[in-house]
Amino acid sequence: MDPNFVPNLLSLTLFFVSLFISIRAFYLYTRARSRRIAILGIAMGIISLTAIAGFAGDNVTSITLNVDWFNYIGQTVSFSFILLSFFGSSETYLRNLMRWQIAISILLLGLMALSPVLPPEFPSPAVTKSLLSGSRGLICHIIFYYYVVSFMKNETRFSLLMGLAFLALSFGYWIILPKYITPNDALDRTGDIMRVCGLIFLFFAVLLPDVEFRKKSAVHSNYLPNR
Amino acid sequence: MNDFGTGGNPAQTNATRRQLVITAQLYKAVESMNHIDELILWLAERFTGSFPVQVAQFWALRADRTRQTSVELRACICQDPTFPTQFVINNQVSAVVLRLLNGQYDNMFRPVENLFSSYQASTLSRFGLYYCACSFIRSEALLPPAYSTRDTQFIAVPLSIAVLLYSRQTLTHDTLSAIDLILGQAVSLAENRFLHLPGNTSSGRLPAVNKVALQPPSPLNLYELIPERNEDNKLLTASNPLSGTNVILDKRARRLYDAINGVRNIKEICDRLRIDSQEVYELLQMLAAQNRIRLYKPDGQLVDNSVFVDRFSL
Repeated sequence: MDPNFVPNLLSLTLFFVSLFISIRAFYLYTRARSRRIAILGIAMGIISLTAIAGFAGDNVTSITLNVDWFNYIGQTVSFSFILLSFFGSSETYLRNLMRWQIAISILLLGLMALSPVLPPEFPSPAVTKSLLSGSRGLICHIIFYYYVVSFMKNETRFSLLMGLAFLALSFGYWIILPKYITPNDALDRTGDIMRVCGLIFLFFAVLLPDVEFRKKSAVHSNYLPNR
Repeated sequence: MNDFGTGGNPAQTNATRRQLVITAQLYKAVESMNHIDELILWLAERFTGSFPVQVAQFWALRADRTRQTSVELRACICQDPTFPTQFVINNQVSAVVLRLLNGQYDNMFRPVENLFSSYQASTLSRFGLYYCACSFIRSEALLPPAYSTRDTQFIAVPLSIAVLLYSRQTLTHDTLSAIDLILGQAVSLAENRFLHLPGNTSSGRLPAVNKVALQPPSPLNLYELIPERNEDNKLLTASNPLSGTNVILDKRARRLYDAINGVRNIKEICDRLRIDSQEVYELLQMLAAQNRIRLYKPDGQLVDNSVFVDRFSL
């Protein structure tokens, strides 16, 4: 099997899922004017760029692309903004958050543009890579807890699938941490596959219509037998 | 609460008890009301609060000075305040209501697919609204235009209101009877207090509504209010933000919503968008009904959206 098969599968899945979410979010932003949707759109747009940059970094051999900085920081920052958008609903908070996100995203694009000239090695690679990569897992894990709380309160299919998605993503990020100290292909592949599973959950979460389990069961018990 | 039980069917007892309690409350509440729209709003709140009704709507027939009829929504209350109202307040629903009001139908209780187009019915079903009860209130007395209407093109017309009650489950015969009895009582009270009798018009023409009489005691100035966007707390945590249920369908309302930044007052927004007071009023009502905005007085005090239609002057 091509050693790049699983990483490429992950990169392409991440690219298409995040691009789909980003495009749909921007389309809906023009019609709903919800800043939270705009924040989601920008975050997923940056994540899709990290995915395609990672794909290029793994497959382009004619030039050296050090896209790991952009990959790690871009994903951490983007997931962080999604998380931060949960913390407030006020006009001022979301407007300021969106402004910060746009400014930081422009800096991230600069980082991506600099990938051919960035040094190929990280300083203290084991520590730096573990911290940068692990921070993505930490943010995803906090988001996962947020969805657990939301699911306990609202019992919606969306929060269930999103919870599963972020659980798989966070474990996917954490499982690969030992490889930064001792290379381990098996862990690397397992982590990548977990993240692909997380992305599939994420895709279905945004694709399927809202269903509230609690209300649905009330409808079933009271209504369907008489229909 | 008094026990009105009669020892019969529990469902019947409950419906009867609720009807008696609500009727008693109605007689008390009507004393402090100044306009029929307050009564309509009160009834809509009671129907969603006391019966297994998810959404209650009161649609009234109206006519302009050329006698062209149309329907207008006089009240809409959802049991769940986060319910996206654009799915029950739209052209398709108003077209069905107009057909029902013009067709002199009797009260009915139907699955939504028997009343609406398949698209509208499937949309309603998606939100768990499988049934719709339609009750009709008709009277020779003249219904004045809506309290919020600033446009003088509409005239008082004989009362013809369709009450649409959307529910998840079948409503029992006793519940429907209880609702009809409450509506009957409400019409009698309204005829005595709020409605004009046709005989009072000397010329035989339908009278224009006396605007002065409809003014609330201490109206707020709409222009001074500062609207702020109200982001759905559940969006992205409990509800799918990409499902498209949160779009603002009306382009003008979207433009207005875009101009709202929590700092500009309504006067400044009107100047910026170059829209007139009547239009901004209608659009704000639409956004308020969808719970997309909050309104603040200049001193920072929050204005209750539910009384939006009743309290403002321009």
